[in-house]
Amino acid sequence: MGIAKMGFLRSFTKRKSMSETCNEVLFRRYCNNGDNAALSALYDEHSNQLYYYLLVLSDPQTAADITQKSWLKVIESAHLYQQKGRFQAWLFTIGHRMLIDELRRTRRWDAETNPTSLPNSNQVDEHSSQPSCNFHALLKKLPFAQREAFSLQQEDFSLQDIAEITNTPVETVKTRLRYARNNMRKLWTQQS
Amino acid sequence: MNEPQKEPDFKRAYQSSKQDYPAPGRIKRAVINSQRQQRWLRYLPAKEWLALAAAVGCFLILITMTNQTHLPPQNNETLALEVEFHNYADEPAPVADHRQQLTVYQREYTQNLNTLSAFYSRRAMLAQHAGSWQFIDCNQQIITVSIDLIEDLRKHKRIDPGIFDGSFVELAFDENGRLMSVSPARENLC
Repeated sequence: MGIAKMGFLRSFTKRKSMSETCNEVLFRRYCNNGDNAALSALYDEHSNQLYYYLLVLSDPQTAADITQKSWLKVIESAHLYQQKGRFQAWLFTIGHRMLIDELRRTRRWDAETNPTSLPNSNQVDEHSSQPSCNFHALLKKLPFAQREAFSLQQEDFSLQDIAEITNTPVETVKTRLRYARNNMRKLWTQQS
Repeated sequence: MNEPQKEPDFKRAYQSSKQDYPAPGRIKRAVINSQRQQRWLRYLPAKEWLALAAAVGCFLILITMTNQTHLPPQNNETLALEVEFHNYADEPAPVADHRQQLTVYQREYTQNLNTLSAFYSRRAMLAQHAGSWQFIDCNQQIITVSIDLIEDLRKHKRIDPGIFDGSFVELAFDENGRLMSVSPARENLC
């Protein structure tokens, strides 16, 4: 049993690292040769994840705009990419910064991101009437910082990655995740 | 104890919810199109492009200035051009002393070298050769040459005898703008 678990973990880790290597190879091919196919493959791999992460933190229009701007920024700043980090983490860092800039520009930053603000039970997504979107509606009820940390964790980012993406100490990330899980559990139970 | 069992529920619910909200297709089209447009710009960063553009601009200005320096002076606002009278001396006056005579020859020779070096020429058509000669050049400028200068040039065989009204000629000027010779042009090159 123990051996089987170890084997599973090893293969999972290997698959994840292979995916990261694949991303690095694709991005290097795009940087060196301007390969459209490589960029297209990277986009297909990560665009839905980035878009949904941004959608959880904002509205559909803003999420679409920031997703597009983030990819354009990736194209412009390709020569600045350092291979020490994962491509996905770099992409999400760009997305996070652009979203914060957009929220500050439209003066939605304080209202939405105040960590002390309580979950607003009236804040319901426009798609929440659909049964399959209940989780999305629950997620939108979390405070901004908890929502962001929780969303990034569901995208398989490590605590260190989340701390770097959100420019927050690791301990703060842990706290936000703990609160987010507790709040989600309560909301999940209430809904059930 | 139950917490580890609930976490995968969140994850599955999150992934399921994510599939309900895919990124709009227009984003990919915009990104790929933008990449194609900016592809050639990526080979040089912005600062290098700016420096390259400035260098090309300076080069073009230098080329333009150099070309303008070598062009004959053209004043399109001038409708008529009068050529000042000047003449040529055939032989210096004889001097008794041979050494002084040699000096005079040397001075004349040097002066003639300066005078006779054609600086530029202008193509024109002889419009009138009764009295003062009038030429019309390619810019429709009228060049009037006094009869004295014509006679002087004729005396030194610097005007082709076969020139008549309507002939296309080539007027040779020295660097001071003095007319040196009038020779027939083979064809109208205006």
